[in-house]
Amino acid sequence: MMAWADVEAAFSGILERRWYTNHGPLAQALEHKAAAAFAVRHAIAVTNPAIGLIMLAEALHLSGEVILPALAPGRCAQSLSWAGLRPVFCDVDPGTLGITAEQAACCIGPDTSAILGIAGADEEGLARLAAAHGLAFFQDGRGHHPAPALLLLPCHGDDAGAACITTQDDTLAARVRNIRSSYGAGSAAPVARTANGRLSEAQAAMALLGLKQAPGQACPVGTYRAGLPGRHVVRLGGRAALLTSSTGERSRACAALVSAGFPSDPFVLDPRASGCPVSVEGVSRAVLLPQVLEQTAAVCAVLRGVC
Amino acid sequence: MTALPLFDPPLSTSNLVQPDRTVFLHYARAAHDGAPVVEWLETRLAAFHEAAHCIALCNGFWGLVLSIHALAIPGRTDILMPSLTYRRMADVAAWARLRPRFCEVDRRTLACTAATMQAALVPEIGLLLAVHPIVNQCDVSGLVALAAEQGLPLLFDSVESVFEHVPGGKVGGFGDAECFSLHASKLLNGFEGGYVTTNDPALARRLGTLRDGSAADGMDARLNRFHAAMALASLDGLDNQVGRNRARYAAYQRALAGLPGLRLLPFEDSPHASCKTIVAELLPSWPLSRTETLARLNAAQVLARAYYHPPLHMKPMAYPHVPASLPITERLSEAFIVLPCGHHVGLDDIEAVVGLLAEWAGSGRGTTAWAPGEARA
Repeated sequence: MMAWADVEAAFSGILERRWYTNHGPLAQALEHKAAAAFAVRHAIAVTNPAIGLIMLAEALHLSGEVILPALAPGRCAQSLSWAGLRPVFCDVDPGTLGITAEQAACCIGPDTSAILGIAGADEEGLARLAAAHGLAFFQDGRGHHPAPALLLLPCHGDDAGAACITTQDDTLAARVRNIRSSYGAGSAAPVARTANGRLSEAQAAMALLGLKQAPGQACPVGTYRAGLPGRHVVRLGGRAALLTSSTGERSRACAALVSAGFPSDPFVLDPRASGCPVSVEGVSRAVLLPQVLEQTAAVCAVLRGVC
Repeated sequence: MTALPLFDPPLSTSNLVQPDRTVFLHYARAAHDGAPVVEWLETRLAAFHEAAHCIALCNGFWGLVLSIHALAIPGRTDILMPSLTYRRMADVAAWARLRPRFCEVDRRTLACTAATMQAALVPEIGLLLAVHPIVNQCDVSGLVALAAEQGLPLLFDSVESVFEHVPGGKVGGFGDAECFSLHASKLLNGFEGGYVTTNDPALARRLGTLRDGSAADGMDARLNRFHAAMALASLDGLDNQVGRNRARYAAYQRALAGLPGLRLLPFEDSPHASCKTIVAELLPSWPLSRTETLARLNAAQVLARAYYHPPLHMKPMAYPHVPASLPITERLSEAFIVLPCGHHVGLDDIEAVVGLLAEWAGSGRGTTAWAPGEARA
């Protein structure tokens, strides 16, 4: 939770500058800070992850089908559809709940134009597979591969989240900025259609405060792994999740979280991914964990008592 | 020697209204503490527009896309819209996977009418998108009757008519739905944001699930809570803002009276006119081309701009669309300029801007206190 004094000071600055949106000074500062934090050439701030991924897919000039993990965040398939693409769900590895290059290779068809990975997947293997087939490779979430990616930003006050698109490619960055509507930020680049994916100064202020508090920390998987030794913590839909050994254990864990006052929302599998048996089984044993860093210690204490 | 600009900071055409700081911080604190400020805003806006439902969204652009997606008749390929409108409107249609098909506007109101839309009707059309012009409103009752007669859904882009009434009631309750923007340049400043009003409960539910991403064909397009806080504060100060807008409009009326070749587009004489944006027509007797007029104004840091130029049908489009020839629209798109307006334009600024115009018109009313190339304190 951010201190109100910090939030108030940030808003007072915006009111004094009278610059509310359209790539203002805070949005520019955020892009510089995010680029440094994520060690990329370009970080383009966007209003939320769903719209950001639509813009990224559009800027990549994709067509036809895009392969993605069946357990990618639900918004991924939606964003691909809005970009005029057909999502093809790839089943996951039972141990990591991520996809491997071998699994993705089975999904490649004549209309495939890209593979969308999620953080924690076999990034290098997927990138090599994509290159071998002349496909684009991009990521949802922070990984280690330099492929274009959609990264979540700290987003106090933002139910839909805030995000940035990262890339090392100047041309791709220019296209994303032109699709976003950037009011003079960067060079002009021809794009088929524009949108509104702008991040306001209020959003930028909150993201900057968030980056100051926890730079680069979007998904506390590592924290949960440290706090739950011997348990199986994975990434699921871009979030940290506890993979229990049975549906019964899952029910006990969810009940314990709820009684301790934590949310226990289920992962909703896209109905189009119901033909992926490992994914379906994995979801039935997974407990999505709260993403608020300050809550992780208390959550771990609760779960250690039941799992 | 380098000439200094006349206006510093530049005079813009963006509203950029700043709500009362204390009021905004009150709502922002509530948002910070987790209060349902987005729902507060939706309730307030539904009441304000005398509509049954309001759905708040991350911005007006995606509000339009999702509304079109929800309303267009399945299987139909085209959306009918005026060409003399928002520069990204054809892109909006493309994101909704429809072909933009363009209709003429009325030369007097600059708006589409039942007649101009009827003339462009074909069986492929799955939605009528009527757009209120920047000054005054389109013929709502005529368009509603046309849509009913043709069995077509009707969506209003009412971004420029937040405050206004039309015969039959407040803008916001007509057609199947109406879309608005909360961008900082609009009447209600919410940093970024948008909303849709409707009297149709099923449509409201559908838009809600599309907006939340809970529908399979939706996307997460929810409104930021701090944006809602800003919009609430703007709404609280709206009557005061409109009073200031009217003072600016009156100043333009006074200053432009008798200036040959330049006609102020008049707002309807109504207590419901927001008078937010100032539009003027360059008549044939105006001595400069519009391009030259704008260039001179811009050189003086008066960021006046062309009114919806070029029209949409004359812009290159890389997606399916229906080519059109719209001579009235094309002529009108060359004739109007948007003059400085909004929260940061003072009455003395208006006098100075019109002084420049008068000087160029050779009316003998030019400013002697300031001239281009001279800094204004």
